[in-house]
Amino acid sequence: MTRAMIVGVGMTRFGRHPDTHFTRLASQAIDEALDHADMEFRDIQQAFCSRVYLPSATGARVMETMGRTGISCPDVEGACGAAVAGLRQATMMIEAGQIDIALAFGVEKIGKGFMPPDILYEDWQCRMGMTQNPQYWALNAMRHMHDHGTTERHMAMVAAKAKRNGALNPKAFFQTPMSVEQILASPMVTDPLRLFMLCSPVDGAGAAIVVSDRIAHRYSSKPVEIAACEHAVSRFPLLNASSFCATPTGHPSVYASTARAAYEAAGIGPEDLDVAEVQDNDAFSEIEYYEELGFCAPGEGARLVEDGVTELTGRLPVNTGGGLQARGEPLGASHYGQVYEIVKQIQGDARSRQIERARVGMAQVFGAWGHCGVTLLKRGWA
Amino acid sequence: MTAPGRVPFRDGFLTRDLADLDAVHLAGSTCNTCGIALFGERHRCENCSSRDLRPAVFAPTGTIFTYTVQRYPPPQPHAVPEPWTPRPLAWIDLDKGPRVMGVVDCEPETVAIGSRVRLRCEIGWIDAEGCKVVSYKFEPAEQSA
Repeated sequence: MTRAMIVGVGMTRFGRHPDTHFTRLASQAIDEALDHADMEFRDIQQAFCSRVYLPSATGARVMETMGRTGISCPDVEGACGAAVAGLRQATMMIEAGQIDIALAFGVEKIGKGFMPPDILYEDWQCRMGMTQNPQYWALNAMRHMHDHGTTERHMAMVAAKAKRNGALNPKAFFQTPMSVEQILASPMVTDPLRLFMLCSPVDGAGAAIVVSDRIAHRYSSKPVEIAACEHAVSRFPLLNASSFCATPTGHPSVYASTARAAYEAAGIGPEDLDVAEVQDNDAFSEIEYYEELGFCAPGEGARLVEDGVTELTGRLPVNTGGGLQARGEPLGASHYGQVYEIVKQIQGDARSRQIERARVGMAQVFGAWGHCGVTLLKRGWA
Repeated sequence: MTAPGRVPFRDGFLTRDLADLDAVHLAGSTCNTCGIALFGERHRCENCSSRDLRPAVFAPTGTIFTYTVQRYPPPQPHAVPEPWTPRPLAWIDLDKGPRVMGVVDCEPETVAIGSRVRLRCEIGWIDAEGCKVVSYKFEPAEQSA
């Protein structure tokens, strides 16, 4: 089977871009990806645009700014998992041999504060006030503390790591280091999560150029292989989706099952990972993902934090780009921010946050209504 | 409907007679194939996709599986009481029923994982047609309940 290779990535700085039209944000990310691949836009045979809050036909509107070359460019929407769903479509078309060059990109513009709930929840959930996204992670966190002795300090340590790494990333929204004490002194938002343990919904765009392995050498001396790109909607139950916080059904969490599918497709396991970007909507969720994605045994996530395993200098650095907490989360573009980071790490171009050995990496997202995605990337050159 | 001018927050999620709020229960379906209890009436099982379901009325009592405290008002549109005060929100395991989310009407300091709670239905808000919408929350129950 044809293998899908990333030969170019691009992203805007994630953050506040009130004066920049979303088509301009998208074209900035796409231009960087095209330049990275030394490719012309008219070479693209198929595009997928991921977005959540932006309007119908966002992708087609972006074509207006890039050039109407007559290609297909549908929007792919899947809450915070929108981008991985689009990347997966591009990957499958390349692997199937239907095309040789695809553009997968995402773009978002969103206001400050809690996400506008009306498109994510039913009206009655809004009325009853069940619409603060962080509360869902807080509910999981409280139970994890009860069952496993995880503490607020563990979460603050994860948040401090995110801020530290974000300070090294010029594309991150939040670039100011912050101490564990400062984080623990920030206002409580939804117990046990405090303000500086939460990611911010922001504006931004990201893009990846995906090509067949047959022609990858034309565009990059350091192509990065998409070893797996999996996406699924959670089995029952939905929002309390993690394995320790679910109505008992016997099903694994959607995080665990999607990761397992990706590991199987790629023929690797969590022990082979050198670097990972995970959906740290909040500092607790990162600890949860360590367990659900197989980085450690259930209940031992906080130990990885204590032992510094996931620091830049650790055995498995996680969220080297600052994660969602520092990079910010432009929903439809978020996964491309993760992919950008992993590609830069594998290519050895992550500058001051470059880790020592980066041959295999994971990018994982999770979104409303159970959208979950895992992309596994690995060095694609000898 | 025996209570003119009242509607449930969503059809199929409450027992039908809304006249006596103390007698309203949470409702849904139980799957005859996999046995899972589902909040809200369904035509297929959310867990196993079976069409073989029976209507279910759930016990008004349950146990807090986990909780958080909302320190800020949720985003609009909401129908939370004014003035705002922080309030617990919990996943509650209804006795012999599903796990449901609900506000617990009490001081935040008084809830804990394992606390017993009891259902309370109330008029939550007025809808666009002027109907009184029956919604639900929970309140602490006596430990012997």
